[in-house]
Amino acid sequence: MRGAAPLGSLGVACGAAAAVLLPVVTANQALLSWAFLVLLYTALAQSWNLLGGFGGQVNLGHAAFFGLGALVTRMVWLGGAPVVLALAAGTGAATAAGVLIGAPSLRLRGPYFAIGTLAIAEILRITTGNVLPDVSSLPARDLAGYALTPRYYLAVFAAAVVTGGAWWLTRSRFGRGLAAVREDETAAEAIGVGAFRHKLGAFALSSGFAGMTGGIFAYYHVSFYPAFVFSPVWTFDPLVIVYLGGVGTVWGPLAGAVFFVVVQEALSLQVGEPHLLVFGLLFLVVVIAAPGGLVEALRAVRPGARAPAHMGSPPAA
Amino acid sequence: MPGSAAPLLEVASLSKAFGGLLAVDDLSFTIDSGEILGLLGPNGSGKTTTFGLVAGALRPDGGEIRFAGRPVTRWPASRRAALGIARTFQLVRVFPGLTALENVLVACLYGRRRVSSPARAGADAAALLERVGAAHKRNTPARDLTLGERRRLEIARALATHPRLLLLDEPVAGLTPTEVDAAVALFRGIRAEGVAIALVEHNVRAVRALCDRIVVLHAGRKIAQGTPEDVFAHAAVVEAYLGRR
Repeated sequence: MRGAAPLGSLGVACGAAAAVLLPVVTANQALLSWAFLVLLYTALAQSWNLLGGFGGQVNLGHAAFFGLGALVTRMVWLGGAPVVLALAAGTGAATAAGVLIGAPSLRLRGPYFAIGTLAIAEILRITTGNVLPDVSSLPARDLAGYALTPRYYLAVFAAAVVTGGAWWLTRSRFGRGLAAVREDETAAEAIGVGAFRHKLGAFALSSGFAGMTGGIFAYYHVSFYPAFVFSPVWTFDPLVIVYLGGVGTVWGPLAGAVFFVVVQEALSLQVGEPHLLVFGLLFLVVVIAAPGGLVEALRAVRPGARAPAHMGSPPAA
Repeated sequence: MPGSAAPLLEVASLSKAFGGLLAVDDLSFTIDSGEILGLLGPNGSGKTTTFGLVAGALRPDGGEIRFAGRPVTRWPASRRAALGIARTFQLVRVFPGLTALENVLVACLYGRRRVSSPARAGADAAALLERVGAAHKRNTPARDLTLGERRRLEIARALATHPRLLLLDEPVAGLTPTEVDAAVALFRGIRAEGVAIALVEHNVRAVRALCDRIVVLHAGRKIAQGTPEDVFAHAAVVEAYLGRR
C-alpha cells in the first residue's frame, strides 16, 4: 500500500534475524542480558500500550498482571512442569484476572479508571505480601542448570508476539473499532462499535501479555520476594517507556525500551530514587516537548516523512 | 395505521426526565421508510433528547420504541446502529485523531453493513467522502477540518453504516446558503435511496424544502403535527416560538 512498506518489512526481517542470531554469534553474557532486558521491557511496555495507547485507557495497575503471571508461572514451574506449560498457566491466569478486574473497572472513565486500577494493583501487592511468606527460596536444582540462552529466546518470542499484536491492531476491524472508542465512545457506539466489549478485549489482551512477560521474568530471575513482582515499577517503567518511544505506535515501545535500558545501564540506575528522578524528568520532557515520542521525532527529521503507523494521537495521560 | 404496512420507527408514550425536568413527556410519533420527518420546537423542547432516546444514547423512563418491527427500547446504541439507526450530533462528534478516511472506514466495518474486507471498506469510504464533497481531505486528521467539512464527514460516517433511518441534528446550522443548498440536495438523494430521515433543524428554508411531515414539540410534548404548510399555519406553533400575542 505504501512505498516504504517493502523497506519497512526488510528492516523488520533484519532486526528479527539479528535478535535470533545474537546468542549464536556471541557468548558475551552481559550483552545477552542487556538484550534480554530490552526485549522484556519491549514486551511489557507494548502490552501496556495495547490498552493504554491503542485503547486510550490509562491502566495504572499493570503490575498486578505482571506479578500474577510471574507468581503463577514460578509456582507451576517449580512444581515440576515444563516451563512452556508454566508460562501458559501464568498467561492464562493473568488474562482471566484481566477480564475479572477489567469488567468492573472499565465502567469508570478517564482518571477514575486510572485510579481504580492503581488501587486494585496495590491491594494485590499488599495482599500478596501479607499472605505469602516473605522469603525467597533458591531452588538449587534449577540454578545448577541455569542458562541464559533459552530465557533470551523466550523474550524474543514475547517481544515479537506482543509487537505483532500491536501491528494487528493497526489494521484489523477490532483495532479500528478500538481506535474509534479511544477517540469518542459515544460516537463509536453510534456507528455500531460496542465500546465496552472492545475495551474489555483490549484489557484481556494487555493483561494476558503482561502475565506472559511476568512469567518470563520469573523464569529469568528465578528467585524473588513475592511482593516484588507486584511493585508499581512494573507499571510505571513500561508506561514511561511507551511515552518515551511513542504512545499508540507499533515500534515506539521497542525504541523506548532500547533508550530506557541504555540510560539505566549508563547511569547504573538499577534501583532506588535516582531512577525515579531521571525517568520522571525524562517523561515530563517527552510529554511536553515531543508528545509523539522517539518514533515521531525520528519521522519528523527523516525526509519524505510518511503518515504515522498508528491511527491518531496519544490520549491525554 | 390501518391499511398500511407497519412504520419503520414507532415511538409510543416516550418520556425522559433529567432531575425534576421532564425533557420528553408522553411523546408518540412514527416514521415510514423513505420519509423525511421534521422535529421542530424551540430550544429546550426535547428534540435532541428524543434523538438520544431513539439512537440509544439515553434510556427512557417510560414508553416504547420499535424499529423495523423489533422492540429496541432497552438496546444499547451500538446494537441499534447495527439494525440501521444512524445519527449525527448537534455538536459535531468526529474521531478527531483519525483521518477523514479512517473516520468513515471504521463505520463501514461496523454499522449495518459490516464490510469484512478492509480493502473494500477503504474503497467504500473513499466513495462516500467523494459523495459528500470531502474526497480531497481524505488524509487530513478530522480535528483539522472546518466545521462544514466535519459536518459532511459526520454524514458520510453515518451513511457508511448503511442506515435505514438517519437522525440529523441541526445538520445545516452554521453553514453558508450555498452549503445549505448542497446539503438539501444530498439529503434528497439519501431519501431517494429509501432511507428515512428525522431532521431537527431551525433553518426554515431547509425544513420546508425537505420535510414530508413535521412534529412540533414544546416542553417535551407534541403540540402539533402535519405537513409543513399546515404546521406553519398552526396557531400553537407560532405561539410556542414567538409567545402569546
